[in-house]
Amino acid sequence: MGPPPAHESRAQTEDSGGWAGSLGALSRRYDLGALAPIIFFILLIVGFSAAEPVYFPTADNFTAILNNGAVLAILACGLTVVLVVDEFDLSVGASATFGGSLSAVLDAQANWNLALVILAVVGCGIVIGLINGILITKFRIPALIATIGVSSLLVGFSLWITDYRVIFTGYSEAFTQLGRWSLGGIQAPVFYLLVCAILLAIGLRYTATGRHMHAAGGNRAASRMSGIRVERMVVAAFVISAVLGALAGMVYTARQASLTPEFGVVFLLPAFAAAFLGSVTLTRRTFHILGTVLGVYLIETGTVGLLIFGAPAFTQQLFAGAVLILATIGARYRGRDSGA
Amino acid sequence: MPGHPAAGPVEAPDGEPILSFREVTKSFGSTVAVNQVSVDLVAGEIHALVGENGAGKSTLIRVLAGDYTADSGEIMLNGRAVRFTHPREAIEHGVGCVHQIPMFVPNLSVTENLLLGVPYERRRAGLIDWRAEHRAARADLAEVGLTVDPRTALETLRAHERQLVAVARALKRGLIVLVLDEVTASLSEPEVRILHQVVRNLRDRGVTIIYISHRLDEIFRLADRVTVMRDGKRVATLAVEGLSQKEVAGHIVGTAIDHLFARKTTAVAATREQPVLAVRGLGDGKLDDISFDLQPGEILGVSGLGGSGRTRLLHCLFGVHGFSTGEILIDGKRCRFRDAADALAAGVALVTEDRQEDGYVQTLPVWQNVTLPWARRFSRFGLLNLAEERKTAAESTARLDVRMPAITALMTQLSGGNQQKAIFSRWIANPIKILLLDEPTHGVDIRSKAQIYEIIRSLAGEGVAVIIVSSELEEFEAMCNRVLLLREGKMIGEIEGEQISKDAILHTLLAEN
Repeated sequence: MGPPPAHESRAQTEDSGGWAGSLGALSRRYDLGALAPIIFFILLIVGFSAAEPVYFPTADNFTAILNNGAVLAILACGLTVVLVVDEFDLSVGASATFGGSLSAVLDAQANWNLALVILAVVGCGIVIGLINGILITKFRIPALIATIGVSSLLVGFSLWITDYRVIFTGYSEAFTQLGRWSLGGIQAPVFYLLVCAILLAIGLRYTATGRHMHAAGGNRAASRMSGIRVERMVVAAFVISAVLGALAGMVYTARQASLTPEFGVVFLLPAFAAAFLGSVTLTRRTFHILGTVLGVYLIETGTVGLLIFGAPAFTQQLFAGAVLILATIGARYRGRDSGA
Repeated sequence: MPGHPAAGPVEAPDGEPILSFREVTKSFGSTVAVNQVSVDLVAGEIHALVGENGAGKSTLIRVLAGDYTADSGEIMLNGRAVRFTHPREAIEHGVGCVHQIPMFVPNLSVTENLLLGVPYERRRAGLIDWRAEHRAARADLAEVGLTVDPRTALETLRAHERQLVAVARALKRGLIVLVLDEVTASLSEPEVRILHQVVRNLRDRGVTIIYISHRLDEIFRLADRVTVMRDGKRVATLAVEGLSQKEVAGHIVGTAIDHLFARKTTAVAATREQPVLAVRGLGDGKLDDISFDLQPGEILGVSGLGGSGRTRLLHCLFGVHGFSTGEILIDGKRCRFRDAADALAAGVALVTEDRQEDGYVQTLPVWQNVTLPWARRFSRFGLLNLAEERKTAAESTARLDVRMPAITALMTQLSGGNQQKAIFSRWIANPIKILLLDEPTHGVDIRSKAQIYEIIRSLAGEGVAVIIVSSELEEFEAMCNRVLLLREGKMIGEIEGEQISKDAILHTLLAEN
């Protein structure tokens, strides 16, 4: 017998187990643990504002954080779906690399029409997701290995099609606008994120497929015995993750109007950190879209704050790494006692 | 109990008690789990401890074993007050516990598992002398009648053999009191017999045994005395001889239970020209030429010892296990399901044996588990109507009297019986033709058991055809119109109507075997 397994905040009747003393009682009553990341987020903003009152708490700065975090958040939302079905996608960063490289090559070098570029990127995302999903469900390769392998393939292909070169000229106006148009200072990626996040959040909570994904993530065998086609759910989750990863890579490239092959790999760690942090935000231990988005912006705020504070560049790595580890400990401590 | 060796003579409780609970009380928050419980156990008796889930049996045992510390009261062992604060202390004082699923490291050898937590003492030149350890282990295993090779990995042993290894492990440490907690829950009948014999031998050697089981028949076969607990209190301690199951059941639930196990079946219209299910010559390499018909509203039992292919038959019918020969006809139409989804679409449902393993999803609340197989039905224009879904689940669970903190609670917060009723409530608001039940009352308390019998009868009354696989032979007697007997994948007999009895089934199953 361990602590009871984790669940969404709807199950408020749950006894949170071995918490001691009055803090435990308080936490049972108000579920402070689920609010901890948000409290931390607020403290972070207050702290940076107090430390850098001139540069940090400005409208421009907050808008910049919003704009800069959006691409990562799109990618992390896709990853969240894979985590919901209790799998891993370590290739999501490489999907971004490949989506970005492909779009750069097709636009800047082959001068394809924008719509065709987008179609090609989405199509490749679907193929990447199918490959991941089939390796895992049909060939029963552990997700860790399968997605590392696919990740390496994707980086290889990206270097191949870009010929190892940084592509910084030749982009069409339409393509760069895809990542740069803005409304009241808020740039395109934020609006894309909004659409993706709302669709996924609704999909996960209010559709039968979303329910089946949650069920498959919670107990494969029971889901299968209840007539849920678990393998399809897993494949679908990987497809969503890869498509969003590839699209995020394309939007990133368009916004920068420059492509460095391999850029996407830096998204991987913060995306995981954000999703794990999100899974213990507002819920006991469920991956959910709102949590992931909050997680991304917490990390982004921390990173920007540290930059303004003048901390050396490596502090950002320390920050993201610390968040990932703390969030995972939090998830385990508050979460289910077995599996995972 | 007819057909079984008599449970030895009742030790008069006037012997010097070896173990006494004296007004032991243990609370969790405002819940008094064990309330002023006093009971004396004498040396060399098998003392059954029964009660519904939540009656306080486990808590009492865990206080004894040092998992919990009592709030008040004391425990006397061999005339001395003891107060264990850690399970290790209890073991050192001769109190051993074996649980339903013994704690082992499955991939280590039997010897290594026997020695878990104790130093390896047989050494040669500072290194572990494995030959000597294995030899010692073989002797330990012989004490409980096991002849398995101690060098094999524990996971290769059968369920009852693992239980016996756990007993041997407890024995090694100078056993005075042995607690057996639901050890037969997942054993087949012959395995249960072997285990019971070992327990009797231990008693005859003077070990005091506390035996916890949901299966009342076991208590009558094995125990000398029985203590019944209800709502944290001890309600009775009785000599088993001369006692009836009904009396014990009455003490357990607090009211007289009439006809709990009484036979109650409804007549089936056997004259219907087409059975809802027809199985013809079904075989899969293990199952061999299984054929039978099933009428709507009929309750068919499938009985057989472990390894007879009972569960496999259900899995074939449910589409989660393939078959190589024969055919399955539903309403006269040939069916070949690829998976459970196909079976459910055709109106065939399965309640699995092991709820935790494949019965429900731990991370989803009760209502979503109730609607799990057919959540799609609440989808309008692609979106689930959650309010409607939750309401339907609430109504279904209410009809089956599922006790839970809230419909949004997690399944794991429910007792075994209520979990099982929640799983049954899946089929209340959803029409099905055939319900396959694999050990439908596995690990369920007695009140829920009676309720589940009623649920099964009423589903059959509505025309659902039911197939029950069970190790508890009384269930066939209580509910079935017909029982198929399987042995090693083959049908070896069929018993109908009033002929169905535990003895008749056992007689056929064990004949010339």
